[in-house]
Amino acid sequence: MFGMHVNFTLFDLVINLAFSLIATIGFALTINIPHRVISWSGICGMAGWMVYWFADRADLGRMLSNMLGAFTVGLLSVLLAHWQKCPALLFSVPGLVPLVPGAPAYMAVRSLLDGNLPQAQQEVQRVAIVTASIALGVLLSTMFQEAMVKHLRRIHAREKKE
Amino acid sequence: MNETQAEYTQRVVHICLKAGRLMLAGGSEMYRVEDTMRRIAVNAGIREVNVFASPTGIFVSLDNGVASTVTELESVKKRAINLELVDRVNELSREFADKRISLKLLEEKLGQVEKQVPTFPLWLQVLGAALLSGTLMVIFLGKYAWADMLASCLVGGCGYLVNYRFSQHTNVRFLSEMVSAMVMGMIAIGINHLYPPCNINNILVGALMTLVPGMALTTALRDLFQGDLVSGIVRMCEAALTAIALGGGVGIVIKFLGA
Repeated sequence: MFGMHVNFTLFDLVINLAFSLIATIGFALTINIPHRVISWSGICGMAGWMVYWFADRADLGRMLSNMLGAFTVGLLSVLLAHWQKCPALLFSVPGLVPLVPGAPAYMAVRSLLDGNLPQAQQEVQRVAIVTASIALGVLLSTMFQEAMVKHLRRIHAREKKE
Repeated sequence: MNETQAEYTQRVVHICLKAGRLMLAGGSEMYRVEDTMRRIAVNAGIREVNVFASPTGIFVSLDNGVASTVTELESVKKRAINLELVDRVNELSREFADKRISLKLLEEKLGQVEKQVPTFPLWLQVLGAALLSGTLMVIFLGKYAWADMLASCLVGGCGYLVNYRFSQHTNVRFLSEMVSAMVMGMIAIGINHLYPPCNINNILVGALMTLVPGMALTTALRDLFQGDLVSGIVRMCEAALTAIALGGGVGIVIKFLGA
């Protein structure tokens, strides 16, 4: 993982940053998110996608990259929710949209239509793996958050004693 | 206030049910729906509170120690994803918990929220869907095909509009998704006929993302990890069926028009 080689141009970086932001905000508009958090939800989606993208570029594999992306979105949405005093759902739902395996799902349908069953099977498996890794990422971020809250409470309790 | 304890409990039950129903209709997680209802009841001074929420109905059971327990249920049939609704009700229950508004005011405000939720105008939603399709197509495929991107924006926007309009006229679930996927397929094939360098696959990968059940999938995961197994599995199933409807719609068109 360390000493990894990541290859991209500045143009790639700018396009990915801008487009993931626009895509997340676009999705947020379709599910009628409150006005005051719309830009933050976009940033949440951008962060998740960029983590995924860097990890993918560094050849960490599809599973680990998706997991890291979902973990970032989950963690960031909890922090933003705490700060903006609103449900974490407002950030995590649009944030995870760029990570949803839309392309392999479409390719699975396409190969099925062409009668290419082995290819379709492979794509379906890919969708399943990506979905499972997103789930794992969300789970890890929930666990992390729980651990953090407990830790902070313990510190508070100790300070009160002293 | 000249109402008996039993009447008071009854009123709290109604308020809880209304808050729960609004949140559920907006697409909240089960955990949050139950938590909000419980908080409202506890802050209203009810001693024993039991709530249960499932994607299609909510139950509230309150015991104030005087009369018998008051239990009511309400089924939730009308659902339209609307996060503004979830946020509003959440905010109101917080205000009530902080004693900033009274029970009466909470009831009134919930009624207001129910009647008029601010939604984005339709053109803005369609614009959002269009932007989403084009940009996601580019970053998914990593190919800078600008003509495909424009076409994808157009197809995605049209598909979203069709879905929006069609779902108002039918009660059959998943039908509007299938019809809009078919429309998307047709427009994509039409564009390909008019301008052959456009790739149908590229266009559709982006455009279908507007209707992808991202919301159902993420809330399903949240529900499962919170232990709300019933609603988690139901929502997973909903997401899978939506995906199948989309795939089927596109598939039919491509098979018949032969792309």
